[in-house]
Amino acid sequence: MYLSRLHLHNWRSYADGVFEFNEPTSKKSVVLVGAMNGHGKTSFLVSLYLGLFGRFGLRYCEGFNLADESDISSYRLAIKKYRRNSAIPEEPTIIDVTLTPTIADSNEEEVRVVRRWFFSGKNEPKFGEGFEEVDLYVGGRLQKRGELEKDPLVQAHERIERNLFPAHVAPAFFFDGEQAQKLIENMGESGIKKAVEVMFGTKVIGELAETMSQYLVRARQGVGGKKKSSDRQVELDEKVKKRDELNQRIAKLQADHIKLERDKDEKDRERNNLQEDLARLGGAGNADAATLQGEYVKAEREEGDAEKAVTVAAKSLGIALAMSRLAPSILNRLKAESSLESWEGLKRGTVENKDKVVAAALPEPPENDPLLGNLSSEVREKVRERFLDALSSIYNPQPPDCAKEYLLGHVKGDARSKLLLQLAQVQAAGSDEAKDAARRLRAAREALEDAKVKAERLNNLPQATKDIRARLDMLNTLNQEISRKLGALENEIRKLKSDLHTLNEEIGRIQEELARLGPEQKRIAVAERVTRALEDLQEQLKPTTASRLEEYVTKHFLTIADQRFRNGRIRLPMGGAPEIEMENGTRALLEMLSGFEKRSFGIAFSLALAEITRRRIPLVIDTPLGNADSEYRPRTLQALKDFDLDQVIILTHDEEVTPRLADTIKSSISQTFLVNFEGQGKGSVVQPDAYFGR
Amino acid sequence: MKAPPCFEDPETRKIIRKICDQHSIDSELLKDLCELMNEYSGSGRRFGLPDEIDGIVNRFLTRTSEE
Repeated sequence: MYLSRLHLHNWRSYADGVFEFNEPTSKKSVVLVGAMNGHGKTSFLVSLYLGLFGRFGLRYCEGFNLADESDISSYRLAIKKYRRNSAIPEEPTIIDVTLTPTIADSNEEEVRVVRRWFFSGKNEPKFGEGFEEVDLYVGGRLQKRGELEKDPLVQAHERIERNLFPAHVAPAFFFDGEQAQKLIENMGESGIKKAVEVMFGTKVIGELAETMSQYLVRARQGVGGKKKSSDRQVELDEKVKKRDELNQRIAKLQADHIKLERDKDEKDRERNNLQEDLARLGGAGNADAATLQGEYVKAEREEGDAEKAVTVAAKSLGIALAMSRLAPSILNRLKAESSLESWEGLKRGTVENKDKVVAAALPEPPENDPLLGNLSSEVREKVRERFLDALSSIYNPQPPDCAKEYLLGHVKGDARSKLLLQLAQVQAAGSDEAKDAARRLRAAREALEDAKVKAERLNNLPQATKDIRARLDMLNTLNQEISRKLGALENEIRKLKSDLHTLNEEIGRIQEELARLGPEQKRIAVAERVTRALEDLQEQLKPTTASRLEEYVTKHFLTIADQRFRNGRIRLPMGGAPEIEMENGTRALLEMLSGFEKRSFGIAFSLALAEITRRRIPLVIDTPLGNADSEYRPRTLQALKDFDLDQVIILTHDEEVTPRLADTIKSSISQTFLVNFEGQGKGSVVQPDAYFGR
Repeated sequence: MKAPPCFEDPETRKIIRKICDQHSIDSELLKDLCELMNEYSGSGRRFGLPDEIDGIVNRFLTRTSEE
């Protein structure tokens, strides 16, 4: 639905202004109405309230409240205030509003409301019925006035609300940005509750509950008071209620039963797993445990042996290594001393036998010496001396491989030879033995490690087995407890089902009895059930509607608001002021925010209400941007443009939606108007297809 | 006249249906009555209202007896 025409005659600054609006499209739904301050923006907005709803719209206008709606004099004064000052007394003030369904709303009809207020010659509102009249056209047809005894204005109002929307819905669609800012300050528990009730329809439910109570009183009087039938109905309802409670109780017990069974199954599974673990670890029997203990002792012994083996290997290897290091020098020394001994022996043998050698070489008497016997005794003596000297000197000097002296003089002869042999063997076998010792050491260490691992495993086995057995015992106890509970639950369910069966039989009997009653009593029975259902419904819808409103307000607020509120959430606590919960969980009162942030909330709140009503009423906002900064302006404008409605009319001055800013939503603008106040004579003049700077 | 928005909302519709079941009525009965109330709401008009409630309740009784 969209506002297709608004004709204002003698209305504030408008002498005779007409706005003809094009049918919007889904892509072009925004209408910009530009007017400087005092040139007719607020008059446009207020005309919708008073033009459509008359005195029933007054409380939504700035400066008025609910009391003014029923106070005719306040209403007359209000209209006088809004009437154009320079209007000719004979001419009425007229607001002519037409709302047309879009193509999508093909099942709805165009609604036109023409409201006129008449004044006396002194430009004072006329008294009585002569002050105001209203014509309603639906689908182009003037609606005839009905019951003569009824106030025609009230009749018209009922019809307008029936054909358009209730007056109380209007503030969600027609609002002033500044008022939206004030909304936050006036919003207490009652404000939110009322908004929720009104917008989500729960108010109607409350009214219906009250109406049904009155209906019941009347219906009971009609059948002679609250008769037996009604008592039986009450009894039936009580039994039905009890049956519901029983069903709920049974359902809960069954759910508990299922939960317990699952719990038991889980514990059984765990028990099976533990028993398998126990068997894998060495079996659950004591004999196996004894075997394990034997293995453990053996492993301990192995550990000890391995340690000994390592010690022996290390010791052996140490001796071999020590010997192999000293052997060459001892061997050399012994060899040198052996050479010394041989040399000394040879030398000694030669010296000791030199006389014999000389005697053999120079036999005596010389006549027995055929070779040198003819030598003189003097020469012969000299030759003897030479022989002796030669024999004495042939072992001089000492050979180089001989020791100078005997350091190992205690090892000589055979002992030396034996030692030399052993040393030679040690020298040859030294490296092999070392390698063997190392191998033995490595093997011993490995054996030790194995023994340790085994010992550790064996050491842990008894504790692991003990733990498993303890858990198994606990599981058994728990399962016994669960089985006991399951048994108790089954008994209780069985008993409740039996009670339910009895109750159903009783209900059936009462229902049969009631079925034989007359139609009035049946209606009473239904009305009683409806009344109780409505009471429950009111109670249960409150939290749902409140949380829905929070969700919608948050959505719209975050679209407009600064990045620092990102991922925040608006909270509308019952009995408290609105808050914003930040991403980190901290909360801040919205009334502590800056001016435009509060206005953003107000706009978001109105948009949320508009969304909740699920009605496609045109959105008309007077000065939505106010004192917004350069970042808030485009965001707010975008949010309004993107709002899912057929038509969005923005009333703005030149510093608000500037031509430049307007260009940012150019593709969504369906139409522009410029309203200029051109003096008392002409008043505010409406120029279609015009805007600031164009 | 349309029913209140809560009848169009999936979440609240569930609540309404559950409560109706508990009280052995159907949500259509409640919806019809709410629509009727919407028509009379705010007007102060009561003339003809009980008859219209009678009619809605009768339709419910016919509907449920047929079932």
